[in-house]
Amino acid sequence: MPAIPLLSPSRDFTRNVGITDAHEQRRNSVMMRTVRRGSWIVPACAATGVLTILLLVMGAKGAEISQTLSLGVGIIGCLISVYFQKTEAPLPSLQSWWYWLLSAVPLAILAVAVGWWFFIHKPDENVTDLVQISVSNEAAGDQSKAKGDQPEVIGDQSKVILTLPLENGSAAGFVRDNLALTLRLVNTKTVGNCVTPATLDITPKLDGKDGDTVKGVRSGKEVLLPLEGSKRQVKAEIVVHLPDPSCTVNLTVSEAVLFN
Amino acid sequence: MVRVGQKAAMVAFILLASACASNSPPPQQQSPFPKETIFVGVTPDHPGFSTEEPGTARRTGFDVDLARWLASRLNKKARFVDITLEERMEVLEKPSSGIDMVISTFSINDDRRDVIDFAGPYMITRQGVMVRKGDDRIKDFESLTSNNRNICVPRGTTSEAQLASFKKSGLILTDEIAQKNCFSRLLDGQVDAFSTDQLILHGFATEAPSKTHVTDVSFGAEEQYGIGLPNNDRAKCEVITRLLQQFIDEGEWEDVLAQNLGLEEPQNHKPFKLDPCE
Repeated sequence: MPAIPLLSPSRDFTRNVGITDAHEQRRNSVMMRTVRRGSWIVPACAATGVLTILLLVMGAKGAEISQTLSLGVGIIGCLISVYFQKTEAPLPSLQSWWYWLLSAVPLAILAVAVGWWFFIHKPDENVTDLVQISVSNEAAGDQSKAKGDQPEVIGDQSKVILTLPLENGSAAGFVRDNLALTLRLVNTKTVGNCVTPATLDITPKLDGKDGDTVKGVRSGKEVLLPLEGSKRQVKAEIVVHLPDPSCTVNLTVSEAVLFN
Repeated sequence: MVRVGQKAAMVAFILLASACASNSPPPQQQSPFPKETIFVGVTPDHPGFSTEEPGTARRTGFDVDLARWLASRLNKKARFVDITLEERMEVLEKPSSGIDMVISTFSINDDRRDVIDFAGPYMITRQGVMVRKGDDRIKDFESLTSNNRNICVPRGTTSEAQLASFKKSGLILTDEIAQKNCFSRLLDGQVDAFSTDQLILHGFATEAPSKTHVTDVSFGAEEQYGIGLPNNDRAKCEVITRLLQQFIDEGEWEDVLAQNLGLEEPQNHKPFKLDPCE
């Protein structure tokens, strides 16, 4: 492996300080460096800690962001360590093409990453508040919409329709490849073992076409629905399976996120 | 130059390590029941499920036999700790109680799941009604909840919760700290009926078959008995759920039920699927 040349001259503190005692001189030099390092290491560590906690709280989405960030942080970290390296050893001479090559390559990678992030990558869109819920009662030939804070009471084998209007709707312009959907059931009574054993069968209906049914989805568990280029309307038909026919529950959307 | 190379290698290592972290195997975990003895909370006064003979300290019942079977499969000793119905939640919420699990006709419900964990269900029943023999006034749910009937229910149970909403519509609820107290009140003529889970009523009926009668009236949500465990202890829940599945699949469930309750249609009370651990 070829040795990596140093790219910038560094100051020799021992010659500029002018202290006669060499031991004292070295000790002061180390102290100065420690103070300088300490001045930025502490806030950097604090910021890193806060960022880490934020990413952990975000769960799977935090992992995605951290993977993207790691490229930029890695490249910048390498550049900082190379450009601002302090050493007491004499510096080797540097050929100009090495300088340009070692500077241009990581900066080009960084530029591509930044360009991808801002111009190609589409950020996740939280559309939880835009999803409309209606309980389908086919036998009665009607659909009743959940109103305000009072969701419909749902029994075993009930069908629920979720609608996310894209074309001319409130979610227009949010076209993405996938929908991450988390549904939550709440027992309407103080008795009964209803929520944990309950399962949901979710069938996406994309621009009027049925997608593949995802069976056995539990309350509070995220399900990923591919939208397959749907442009007009995303619907999902949900069949609720409750373990006890006497159970009744409310169904709410905990989170709906469009993502690529 | 060497230092620059070392730093670059370190950065690369950190990036690779973070990328590979999610694929690394989980570390070896400690057993969820590290002690030699498992402390099981039981109620001592449920005929058919959990009773203790006075003087002999001999315990019998479905819940007791289930606890012993689980302990044997875990290669542990089972030690029983008497608790009341109201204490079932409390002992699991307080680690200082030392109770590992509660097996005591403990109905799983969504409210309780917010506070503790459950493995199960291992038994399914519904709310029932016991009356004195010869008393045929209670023929259906309407006649139970009207005419100011005085119904005894055990305090802090789902039985109490299922009937509480009918208090204003012609029903008087008398609550007692233990099931046996309701049974005594019924025999003494202090209440019109004793309402709790049908299976528990069948257990009490064996103690005074000439004086009591379990009616055909059943109502409310299913009562699904589970094994109560401390909250957010998924490892314990998964171990107990796996063993419960074996208990049900290998025929032990039918044998233990026949020994302790002798029901005519035991299959009506057998769960066909256990709940996932949270």
